[in-house]
Amino acid sequence: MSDRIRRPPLDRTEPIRAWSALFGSGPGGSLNDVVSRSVELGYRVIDEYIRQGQRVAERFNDRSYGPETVTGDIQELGARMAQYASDFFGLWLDFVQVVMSGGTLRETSAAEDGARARPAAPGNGAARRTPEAPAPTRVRIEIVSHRPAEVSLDLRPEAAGRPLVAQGLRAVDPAKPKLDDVALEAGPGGELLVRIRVPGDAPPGTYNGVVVDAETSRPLGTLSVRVGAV
Amino acid sequence: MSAAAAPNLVVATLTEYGGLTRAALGDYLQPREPRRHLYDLVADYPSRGGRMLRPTLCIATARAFGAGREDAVRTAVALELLHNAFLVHDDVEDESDERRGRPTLHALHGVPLAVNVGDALTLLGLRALMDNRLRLGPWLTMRILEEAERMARETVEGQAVELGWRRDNATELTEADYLQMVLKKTCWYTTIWPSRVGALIGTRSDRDLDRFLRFGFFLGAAFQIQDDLLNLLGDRARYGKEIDGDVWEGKRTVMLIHLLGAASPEEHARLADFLVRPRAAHEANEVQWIRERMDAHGSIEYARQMAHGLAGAALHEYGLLYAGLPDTRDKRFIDALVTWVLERA
Repeated sequence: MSDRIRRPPLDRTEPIRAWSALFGSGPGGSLNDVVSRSVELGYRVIDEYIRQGQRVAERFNDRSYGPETVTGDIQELGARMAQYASDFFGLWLDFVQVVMSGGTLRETSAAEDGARARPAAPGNGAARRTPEAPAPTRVRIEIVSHRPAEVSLDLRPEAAGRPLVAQGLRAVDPAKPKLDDVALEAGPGGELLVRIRVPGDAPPGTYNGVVVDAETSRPLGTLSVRVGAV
Repeated sequence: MSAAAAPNLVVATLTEYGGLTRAALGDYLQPREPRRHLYDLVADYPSRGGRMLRPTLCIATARAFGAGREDAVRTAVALELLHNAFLVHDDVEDESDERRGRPTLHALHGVPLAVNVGDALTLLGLRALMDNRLRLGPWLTMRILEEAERMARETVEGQAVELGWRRDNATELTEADYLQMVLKKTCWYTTIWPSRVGALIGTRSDRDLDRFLRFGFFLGAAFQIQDDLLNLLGDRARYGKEIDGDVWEGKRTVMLIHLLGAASPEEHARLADFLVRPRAAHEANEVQWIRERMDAHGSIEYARQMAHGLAGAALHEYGLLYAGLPDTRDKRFIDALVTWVLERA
């Protein structure tokens, strides 16, 4: 059966990722041949899968902004607002139902590492709000960047009044450097001051980090910075 | 973490979060009519045990990102119900005889009832996801449902690929073909989806969920290859499935793909003749011959090393994903899980 189709030899000179350095050994080191080829092959498969997904996503996002689209968007917005009103009404009914039956909206479990129940979470509407809910945190952001940058800060209600620290902001692509110059400070009147400096050579992309309580290390939110191209 | 502590942590976490999931699972498996032909059968596979890997990974990921246990438990229940739905249908499609140490559902009750039970388990899984609404709110509930739709779609696409290989008697497959199939059929619902929805619940944000694709793929692929190895080498009582069942079914595992590539022309022709026939037409001496050829050509060791390589890549991806999070027990569990999938018997 000499006419059988056989797998073409793998190209070993141009690996997609420098995986070999990850395991403390350079190319040609003691790593088993099957192990190394499997890792390389695995990255090829998953990277190609991700690229295919991105191409599909780009196709769906390729929208024009002519008059028809704007009209469609306004209609969609109206429908969405009606839907949100309906969602809120549903939640309100749930709330009334629970209150009438004498239950609580959220059971606090002692087993949850002693964590106290969150009185409300972003996007959950008024149904989760209780009289003990902390006041919203006022945030001021100072960003130094030579390029367009967009900051997104998502804080839990428990973050109010707590000493916060942000980890270095990492890009999805591990080859990109972290954004380390990030500081969270308490300002006057309980205000939270976020200072970010984006180095001039930081590659465009989205950088994410977790905001944690400086005393307990409990995660209390996320901070993201999207750096655009010049 | 010490090497000895890691398996203990994994087992303890699987026990704790598995127990939590089982308790909530009871809400969806209450006896009710029609019992004899539906709901008693629906409760059969979930009551047979199982390690609860998927629900535990979901809850641990949610907690590693800051959520409470109760925030993720309905999603974990849905995962377990959907997993059992897939198992019921898989067993029919694979003509399997045993599941978790007992006859498969269709072997006990026939194919029509078993298929209907699989459908019911899927619907109960959707119910559990919708029950997230009160605790998580409409936006997060809807996002989790969207993620579930994608997971289910990827899984059935992967299943279609594997079933097509068997129907068309594919014998010229590569490891890349295998990994592409496993990415969809196994990884999405075993490791990718639990990680993605766990992070979604923990962060209350759907930003950058694709970061979990690589970690979930490498962990899930290592898990699947180890599972296939256990099918050949495992202890029947602990494994809970028929030993050599994959060979009987002609399942395209890494070991079989390696054997097909390494076999002599005569061996290859004999293998192709075996694979083209349905399970019922296979003989025990043929299965034994294939097992011996796998040993002779080093197919078992090849698959074992491939699993180790993929697990190493999973550890690297874990480091990239979780480095910024506080050092919690749940984070350490996810770390230890990577080596545990290779060490489980």
